[in-house]
Parts: sequence; C-alpha cells; structure tokens
Amino acid sequence: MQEFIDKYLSKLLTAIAQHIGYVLVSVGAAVIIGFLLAALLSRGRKAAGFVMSLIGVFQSIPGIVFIGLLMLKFGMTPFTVILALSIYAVFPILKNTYQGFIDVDRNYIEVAEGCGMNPKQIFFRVEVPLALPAFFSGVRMSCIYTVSWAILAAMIGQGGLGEFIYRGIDANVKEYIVIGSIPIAILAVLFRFGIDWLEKKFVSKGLQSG
Amino acid sequence: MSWEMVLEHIYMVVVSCSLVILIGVPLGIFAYCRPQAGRIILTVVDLIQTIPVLAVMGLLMMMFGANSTTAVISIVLYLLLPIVRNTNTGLNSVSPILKETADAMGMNRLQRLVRVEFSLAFPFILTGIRIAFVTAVGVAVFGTFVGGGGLGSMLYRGIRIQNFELILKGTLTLMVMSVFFDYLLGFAEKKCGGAHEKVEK
Amino acid sequence: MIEYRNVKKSYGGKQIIKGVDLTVEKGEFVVLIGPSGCGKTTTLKMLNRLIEPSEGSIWINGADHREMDLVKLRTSIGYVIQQIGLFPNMTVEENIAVVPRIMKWEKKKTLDRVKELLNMVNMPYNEYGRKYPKQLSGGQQQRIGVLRALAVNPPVILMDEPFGALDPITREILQSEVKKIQRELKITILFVTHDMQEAMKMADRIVFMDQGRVLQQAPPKEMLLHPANETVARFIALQGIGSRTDRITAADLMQQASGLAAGEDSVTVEAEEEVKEICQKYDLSKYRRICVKDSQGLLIGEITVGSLLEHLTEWM
Repeated sequence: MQEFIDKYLSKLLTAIAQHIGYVLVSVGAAVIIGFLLAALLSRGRKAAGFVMSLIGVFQSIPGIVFIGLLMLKFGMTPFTVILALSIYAVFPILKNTYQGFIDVDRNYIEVAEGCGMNPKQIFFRVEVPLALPAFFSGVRMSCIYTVSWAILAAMIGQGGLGEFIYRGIDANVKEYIVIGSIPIAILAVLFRFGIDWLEKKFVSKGLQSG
Repeated sequence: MSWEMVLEHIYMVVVSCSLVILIGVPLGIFAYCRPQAGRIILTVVDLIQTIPVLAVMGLLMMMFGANSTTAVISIVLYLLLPIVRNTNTGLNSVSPILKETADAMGMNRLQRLVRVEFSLAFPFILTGIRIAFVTAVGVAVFGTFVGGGGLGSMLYRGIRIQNFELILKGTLTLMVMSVFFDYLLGFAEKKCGGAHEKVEK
Repeated sequence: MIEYRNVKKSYGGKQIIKGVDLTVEKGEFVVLIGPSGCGKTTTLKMLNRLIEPSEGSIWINGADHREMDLVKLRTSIGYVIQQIGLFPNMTVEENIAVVPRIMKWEKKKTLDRVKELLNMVNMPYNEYGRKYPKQLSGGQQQRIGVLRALAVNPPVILMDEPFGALDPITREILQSEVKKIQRELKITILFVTHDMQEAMKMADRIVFMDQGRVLQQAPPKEMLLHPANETVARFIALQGIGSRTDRITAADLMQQASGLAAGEDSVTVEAEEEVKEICQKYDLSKYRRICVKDSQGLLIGEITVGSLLEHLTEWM
C-alpha cells in the first residue's frame, strides 16, 4: 500500500487539486446564481411556485444521468463537468435561501418601513441578515453534494479523485479505490467544517443558537 | 432492460432500508432517553452522511469485498441520519403536558415511552422512513461500482458507450421507483397524520 | 398638530374605516381603544403611511402627509409594536441606532445618544449595548423598542399594543416609564390598546372606536362616568369596572357623618346601592357630593364625587 501511495502521490495531489477546483468553482457560481434567483423569486411569489416545482422535477434526475446527457451535448470537456455540477449545486442554495426570505416575519419588514428604511435598506439590513442562516445551510448541502458529484468528472475522463475510483473499478484494483476514497471523505468533512466556520462568522450572533 | 437489474436495485433499497429502520429507530430512542449521548450520536450520524456514499463504498470494500453487502452497509450508514434524527425530533416534540398526564395516570417509564411518546412520534418516524426510501433509490445507483449491480450498471454502461436510449430507460425506471416509494409511504404518512391530529383534538 | 379629516379605508370593496375625524394636540397622549377589528390599528398605521388612506386626508403641522417625503415622515414618527419589533440580528445598540443611521448621524453623536437613552431606563450601555434581543427579558426588549422610537427625538410616537405580551407587573412598570418620558419630553403619542385599564392610566384622551367609526372621544374619567352609548358602556363594564365593583356599595365608600343636609350640590342614594348603579343612574358631573341614607331615610354619611372618581380609576 505504501508503495502504491509513493508511486501515485503526485497524481493523487493533482487529482485532489482538481477535485477541490471543481467544487469551489461550481459552488461559487451556484452561490451567486442561487442567491440572486432566491432574492428575485421571493419578490415575485407567483413565479416562485412554478420555478420551485420545476426544480423539484429537475432534481429528481440523478446527477449521473444528467452528466451523461450533457456530455452527449457538449462533449467530454471540463466545461461539461462545471456546468453540470453548478446546476446541481444551485438547487439546495436556491431552495433554502428562497425559504429563508419567505420566512422573514412580516412584522420586521413593517417595523423597518415604520422606521423609515427604503426597500434597499430593508433588503440589506433586515431581510438578508435574517435569511442568512437558511442560505448557509443551503451552501453546506451544496458543497457536500458537489464533493460527491465531482467524482463523476472522472467518468468522462476529466480528472478529479473519481479517477482513482473508476480506474480501481475498471482494473479491479482495490488500492486505487481506497486511495481515492479517503481524500474524498476527508474533503467532504473539511468542506462541511469550513462552511460551519463561515456561518459562525457571518451570521449575526443574535440568530445563532446557544 | 433487464429485470434482474431492477430486482437487484429493489433488493438493495429494501434490505438497506429495513436494516436502517431496525438500527436507526432504537438509536433515535436511545438518543432521546440519554440526551448527552444523544448529542454525540446525532453529530456522528450527521458527519457520516457528509461523506460521499461512493467513498464509503470504496473504503468498506476493503473489508467486505466487492459485493452487494458492501453496497447495502454503505447505504445503511448513509441513511442513518434521516431515521435517527426524525425519531429523535418526533420524541422531543411530544408535549410535556401529555407526558405529565401519563405520569399522573400511573404509567411507568416504559409504558409511557411505548404508549404515549412513541405513538405520538410515529408520524415523524414515518417521514424519516419515506425520506430514507427515496434517497436509497438514488444512492443505490452507486452500488454497481462495488459489485452490487442494480440500475447503476445500466446507466454506467449507457454513458460508457454513449447510448442515449439506455440512459433514458435507466433514468425513467429510477424515477418511477422513487415516485412509487414516495407515494406509498406518503399515503401511510397521511393516514397516520390524520390519526395523529385526531388524537391531538 | 395632527388632524385626520374624514379618513376612510377600504379593502376590496369593504370599508374598514368609515370616516375618522380626529385632532391630536402637541404633547397629547391619545389612546385608541375598541374591540378587535374596530380599525384602531389601521387608523394608527395610516399616520406613517404603512397603510394609505383610501379617502380623506391627514394633516401634520399644516401639511398634507401624503405630500411629505416618506422617509422624512417616518423618521419623524417613532414606531413601537409588540415584542417582535426588535431586529433579532442586531445588538441593542444597533437596534436603537436604526433611525439615526438612516438619517446619517455621525457615529459619535449616535453612540452618545444610545448611551443617554439606555441610562434613561437604567440599562447601562456597557452591560447591555452589545447584547442581542434574545438575551434580554421581555420587559427589557420592549424598553429597547421604546428607546429605538425615541432615538432621534421624533415629535410623534405611534405605539401599537406595545405592552400586550408582557406580564402584569412589568407592564405596569413600563407604562409608568413611558408616561413619565412622554410628560418630560412633551412627546405626542398615539397609542393603540384593547385594555381599558391601560387606556385609563396612560391617556390624556381616549378615542373609542368600533366598526371603523369613532364612537366617543373623552378624557378617561369622563368616558368612565358618561359612556356615550351602550357599546362603550358594555366594553368598559366587560373590561373590569363592572365586575370589580359589583359588590361595592355606597355604604362601603361613605364617610360617616352626622348633621348632614342634602342640597343643590348633592344627590341622595341608599346605603345598599351599588356604586356601579349610582354611576349609571346619575350624571355625577353635576354634583359635588353623594349623600347616603339608611333604610329609614336617615342621612348617615357622604361620598365626595372626587373621591369616588379616584376609587373608580384605581379599580380599573
């Protein structure tokens, strides 16, 4: 096993970097798109119902299939991977953040109006801070899922830690699978703690439990 | 489409869900009875679900080899969260007034747990079970990578040989399966929820 | 200072406010009261345009309030609602500083003002400034709610059942504090409640509303003694004065005396007569004394109308 790791260390490091890159880029894109869409949809609630049910349908298509379909359309490129991962990463963020905006108590908005805040001030000083915990749980889910989905990149030959796993499966070599799986597990846990930390930092202490 | 794959898939789903109910519900009850240990249990279960199933399968394969057992155990670990958490939440949401009433009527701890707390928490547990089944249908797709077979093999092959029809068939079968479980258990939930509401009135 | 001129409000063809005329003087404490759904909260919220009137107009210092700048209007009117009014994501300091921030006060000025206000209610800045609402008791939260409304010294404050969620003792304390602040700073307050006791304690003038109309406007004692109609009387009775004085008779309140004589300034009642009945039967504003006679018709004592009123207010 040690021998195996020595032999593949540089390859493994590249794969880890690729994997992290995929996750960061797609979740990054999803954060921006998901947040903006949620903010927009929470203002036009009629459209929101339609969009949400559409997302429900979309989400029920397994990621593996979606990647497969995209690949047939766009070819086996990193762009295909990023596009597929970003689309899937948007769902939890959009859903949670939208709910977060919807759940802001009407009373707070009314008081803010009564204090003389304009819509922009109400949005940034009241609505966003109050929706932030929900937004972060969305980002957390998104990140964890994306670490998992990014494995599929290897399926179309675009690297990442999945490569070890697929090669292990194809060649029936267990060591490959193990040295791919361990960093994936660690990455997922690290991302999760990272988001927890960000949440603690950015969400008002007045909204955190305990 | 081979029926064998469908059956393999259903096998993985049903076996892992049955196991996770047998393990997760008692774990949730234990976590409720011993809140300190409970907090640790919930954290651990939450962390386990953080780890991608495919990675868990890869690791477990070292121990159990490439077969459906590995797949099933991995799925069970992954599904512990919804079952344990919902059981725990359900029990915790029972009103203290009802518990006190049960005490006042002379029930002992076990009677109270079974007749009052558990039966009131049951709709929550059912929701957890529904989530578990629907999730299992999706997660079992990865079973193919560790020799568990199932619809995953069809999808994987479809992508490998770029066969659109194969991918589509596999996907539709998966969707039908998850809608079926969702509907079936949702129905049970509704029946149960109705009874639950009547109790509360 | 504030004048509602035939203000009406309809929602989807249904008229909620059916023409309110109301004048509030500077420094006056006006309480809007009435059963739920009477339109008191709507009337209140139309002043800072959280709700726009459908018809009629509201004038503030001689200007139609619809022609005033919305932000200026609202920052010049403090607004306090039930407990939930504090922003949970902001500290005590940030909550109080909401309006100063909108008005772009300097940081130093804002901080000084926050400290000054907190001292006013005995919640020192060092101890409370950085706390979040969830770390405060209900009474403390509501104090901060009041301070936030006071922050930029607005001439007018609107309060919508601000003490509804508090326990009776805390409510009592906060009522006194607000009343004291209002007198000292000569603020005009419009206050909505459904609690007659609270209205009696706080108001210079009570405005009784029902089904979108003002039924009566009067100072507390006058409304107590001369309810304009059955609805007002019943509301007052249901709110406690009735039941609490049920058993109290003239004999209980009278000062025993001999050699009394009934006169122009007095009314004579039986010793066993209930105080409540006396109030309903006679127009007490016309008299100064109530003479009490026993079953033989002998005058055995008297009650001054002044002392009776004091008792009644106390019992509310």
